[in-house]
Amino acid sequence: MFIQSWDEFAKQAERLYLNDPMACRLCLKYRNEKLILRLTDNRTCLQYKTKYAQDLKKAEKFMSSLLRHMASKEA
Amino acid sequence: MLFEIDHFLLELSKLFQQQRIKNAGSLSLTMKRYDGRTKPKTQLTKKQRLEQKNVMSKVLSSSPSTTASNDSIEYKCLVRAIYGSKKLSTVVSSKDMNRFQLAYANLLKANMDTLKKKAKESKATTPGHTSTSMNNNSPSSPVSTQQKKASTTPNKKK
Repeated sequence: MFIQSWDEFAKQAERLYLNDPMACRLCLKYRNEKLILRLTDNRTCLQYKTKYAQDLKKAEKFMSSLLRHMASKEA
Repeated sequence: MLFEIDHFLLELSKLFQQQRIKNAGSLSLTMKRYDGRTKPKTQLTKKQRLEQKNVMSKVLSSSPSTTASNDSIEYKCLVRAIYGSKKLSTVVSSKDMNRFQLAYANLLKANMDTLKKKAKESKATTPGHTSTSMNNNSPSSPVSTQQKKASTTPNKKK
């Protein structure tokens, strides 16, 4: 259920999002020393769980790039 | 509650502080693309759908080059934050995106600090690696001090 490696999660998430950008949403849940990332398009769901600070940096970069893409002008 | 970007960021930082104080509950952040519609898409009846299909097929067959594409739509981004029963949301357009993205990233980095540092790798090779390096360090220092002592003592004797 949870994807174990960050790179794998990032790759699959990008693929899923580009497939249908309107339908995908990224959810981030932060509780008690755990961070859970979830990207879903209401058909498939990719999840990543972490408790390490270094993963936060990677998640940050990923979220920023996704944010930019979401609000950009599209052709 | 729908806020403007600056207000949203302020409220979000407050939520993080509350979570730190209470040390309970989960903070959820969500991002989704938004195309600016305020009314729901109307469901067409079967008749209307058939009509639309006929019209579309006629248009395609007559002039295949002209396609009604929506490349002038400027998308926005919906951002939501939920903590307990408190709900915040904001809409970010591409104009404010630079500012928002920087502020948002800084906020997350500053507030999600209860995550642990990366643990040591639990592979079989790495513990051996680290222990040998430690052993190398320890014998070297007493050896050097012994050498120093040896050098000084003959001078004193003389």
